[in-house]
Amino acid sequence: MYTPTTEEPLLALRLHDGQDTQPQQIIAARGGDQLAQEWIAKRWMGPVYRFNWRMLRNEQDAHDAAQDTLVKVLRKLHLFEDGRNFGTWVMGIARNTCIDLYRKRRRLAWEEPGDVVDLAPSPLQEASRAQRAVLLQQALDKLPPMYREILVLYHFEHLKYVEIAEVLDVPLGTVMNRIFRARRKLRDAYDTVGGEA
Amino acid sequence: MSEHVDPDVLQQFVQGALAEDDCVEVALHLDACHHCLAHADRMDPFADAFRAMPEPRIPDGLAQAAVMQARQAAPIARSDVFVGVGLLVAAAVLLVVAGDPLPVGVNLGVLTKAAWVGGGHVLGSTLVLGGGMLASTALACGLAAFAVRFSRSGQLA
Ligand SMILES: [Zn+2]
Repeated sequence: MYTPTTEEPLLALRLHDGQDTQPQQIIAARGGDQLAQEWIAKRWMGPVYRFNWRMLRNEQDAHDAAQDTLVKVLRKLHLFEDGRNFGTWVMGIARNTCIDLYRKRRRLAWEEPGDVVDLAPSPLQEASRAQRAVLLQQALDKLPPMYREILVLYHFEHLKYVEIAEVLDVPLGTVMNRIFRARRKLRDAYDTVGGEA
Repeated sequence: MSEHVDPDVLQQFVQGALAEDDCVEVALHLDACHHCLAHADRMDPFADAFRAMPEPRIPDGLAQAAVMQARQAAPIARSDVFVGVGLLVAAAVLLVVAGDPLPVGVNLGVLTKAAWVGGGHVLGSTLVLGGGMLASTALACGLAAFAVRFSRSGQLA
């Protein structure tokens, strides 16, 4: 899991960048080493913030949820089981924090459609790449969070399918079912907002 | 990776038309094979639009703020305060009515709870330990009073 830059080729997207948190850093951070704690917070703030930003669609909420997540991560380091994937553990905490805030703010279940404003459709016969991106964002906003999160983890955070299963704490088969249902819903929503996939 | 996924199978995978078992097999292959992953990506009509979507700017100092907050004393859990206050009240009641055998059972329950939450936060722990100590004093008083009463009743019989 890492942030691809525009210069990097697509093929590198899902290659982990070798900056995965090392056991020594976790041990040091657990023991109160401030530098190790800062390293962990800086390493994971990006994925955590982006995930919250894409799910909550509000900068202040994304800010609060991201900070809260990293505080929990640092305080719960003693609960992390050595040998597990640290990144999926962090993203699991980010997801739970996000769900709590989402329910508090919108009083909605994670499985229900969000209350995003219904944007006027903008029918475009030949949408440019940027326009398609705008339409895709509108379509994503229309999806229930349980479908949006899986697309966010796959397409933006470039998690592997098995990593998504770990973050969501469900079997791989469930991930695949959900991702295909999410894609169908995305396509329908995209048609509704006026795009042509 | 000696054998790659057949392009037709990959196409069905991207369209969500594969059976679940086959899907899982292809997914595991894609997790490990960049060649097929890139191929699947080219078949995905949304892949390019996803890449064109804007990235949020991570607020400056947010990671640092999280570290600072995490390093401060953790806030006292409400449940710890409630348990501590409850224990103090229970101890006070037990001290007042010490001598009656009934509090023995209550005391044991209170002490168990005190031990259970003993590892909590500072104020919570103080309340719990304080309550526990008072409760154990009450328990001792209760047992002593009970013993005295029992020995007296034995003498009377
Ligand atoms: Zn392959």
